[in-house]
Amino acid sequence: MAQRLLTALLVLAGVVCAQHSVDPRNTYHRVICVVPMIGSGTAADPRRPQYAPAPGSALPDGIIGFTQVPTDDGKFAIVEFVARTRKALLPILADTTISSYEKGLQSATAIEAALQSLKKGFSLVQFEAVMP
Amino acid sequence: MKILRLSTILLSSAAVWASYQPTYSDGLSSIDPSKWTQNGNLSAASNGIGGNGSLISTVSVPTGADYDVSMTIHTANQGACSGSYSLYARSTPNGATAYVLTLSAGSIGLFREVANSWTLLSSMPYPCADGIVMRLVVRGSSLTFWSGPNTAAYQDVAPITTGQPGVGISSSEGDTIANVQLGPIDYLPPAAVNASAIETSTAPNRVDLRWPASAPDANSAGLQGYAIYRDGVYLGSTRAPNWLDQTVSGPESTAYSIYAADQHGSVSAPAQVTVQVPADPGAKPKTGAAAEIVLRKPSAKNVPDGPTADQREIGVMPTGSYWGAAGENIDLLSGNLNFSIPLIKAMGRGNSSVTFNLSYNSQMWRQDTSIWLLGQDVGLGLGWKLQAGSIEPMWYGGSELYYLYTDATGAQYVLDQSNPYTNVWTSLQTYVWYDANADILHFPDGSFWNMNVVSALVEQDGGTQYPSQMEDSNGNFLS
Repeated sequence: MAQRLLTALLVLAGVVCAQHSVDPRNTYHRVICVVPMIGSGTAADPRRPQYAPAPGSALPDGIIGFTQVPTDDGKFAIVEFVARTRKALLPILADTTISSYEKGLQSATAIEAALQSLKKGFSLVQFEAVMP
Repeated sequence: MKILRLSTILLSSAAVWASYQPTYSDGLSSIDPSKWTQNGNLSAASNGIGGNGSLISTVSVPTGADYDVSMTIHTANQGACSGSYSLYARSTPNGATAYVLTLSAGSIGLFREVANSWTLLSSMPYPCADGIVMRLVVRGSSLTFWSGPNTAAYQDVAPITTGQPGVGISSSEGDTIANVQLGPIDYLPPAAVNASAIETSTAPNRVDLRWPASAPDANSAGLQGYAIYRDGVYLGSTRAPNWLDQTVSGPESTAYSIYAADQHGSVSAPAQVTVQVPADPGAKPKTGAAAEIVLRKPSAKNVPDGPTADQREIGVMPTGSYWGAAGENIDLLSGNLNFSIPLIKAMGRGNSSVTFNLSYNSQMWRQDTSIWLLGQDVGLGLGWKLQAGSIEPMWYGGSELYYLYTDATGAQYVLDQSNPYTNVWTSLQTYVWYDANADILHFPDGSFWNMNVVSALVEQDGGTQYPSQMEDSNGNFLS
């Protein structure tokens, strides 16, 4: 009887009230940075931003997603990397050869202002990566 | 510019198909050479094509190089996905120049291939299973692809402008692809939300908005969702025709704009509504040390009278006054009924334990200027929660405004006192602090929770973080 009650209550508990959910562009840990492109251009090793995992090699505790846009001169990419833990982003944040901005800690206005010199009209609203 | 932005930020799909008619559908039980150019080694069977190669369509779509292409993946023996599966857009017949959306090893990647030189534009996790549908929409410089009910849009600054859609597979385990649909883009926007029908409910720190669903164009692939702006600042997107804004702080007058968009990126005109957010009766004036919030413990000094009390205060707070003896707690300030019983007590080594409460609050049902969920039920107990606690980040204007800590009773505490150098957040209401860098919630007794379980965005509590491990000060833990 007690087990049946618990089962019933767990079913009830699975139905939560309507509530606000986090925007899919703000989940997990995110860093926006300017990095050079790497890769030979083959399907297995495509041109991609530095630190972006090659296709099929993304790990659950590493960088799980990204989106990129080239800078106006085409030499670099402005990238948003997404990871489940901040630890996975530490190599990027510790890299003194690139510019990086931790989302949430630095204001969107400040990030946009810094990156608009590299890409005219750059807007975070237009750019950010979606996570399911 | 605004329209372009909106098309990129409506990120979740309602998957509601209107009367959309694809130009061409093919189950791929055979390969029709009059409809497809084959590359590589493919074989057709009743459940679709398998092998290693691609099919590029020769069918003309009425909207030229803008179209909607989708296909279904069938895994061998309904097992795990073992191969890679691709959709092509604006492809040359040999597939050497194209946009290629490839699902492989749990990720989906959007590539731009020009003369066999590949560039990875974007990547994100993608749950693959038998029967899953891949879908790609190309419209101008915008490419939109789906991951479950969520979509991501990519704006290509140097888009490939011509070419045909196609499909591809590489599987040595017998997986197949089938049910290909190629269709035109519907450029007509959905109807704007009826501004006069927007319902609002306000409290000092929240605004509820609800509106009648917008109607997509008759030939549309369906409504995608709504984008919400407050005073010109993007707040987020939603599939359902409602929004809860917990980033306001009364008293203020604030204007919301709601845009409806369909699955092909057409966006309606905005519907606007202005809301008067009331002052918090428990807050000190916003000057000086002002941010301090007076604990809502009833006293001669700070008990608001009647209707000015924030009736949305839910849960059981240690500073509150409640009446009830059998799990129910009637808040003597707001009048809310909260029901919270410790249902499960998880025991660890050294008598460490964590209690999971089953909780409910009468604020689930409301009737103020409008009726909110009153009388509605899903037959399973709308509004019940079973949890030890959770953390929800609240964003505004691209920055974290605060974290909302919910305890086992459902009581909510605003962690808005932050150290910008350490990214640690705490509250004047309760003695917990959240290390947002490490995703750890700390308690005064030295125990802490790793908040690494994030609710998927298809859930109503999408993005809310729950504990994966609960550890006491002696190192005993539950996980």
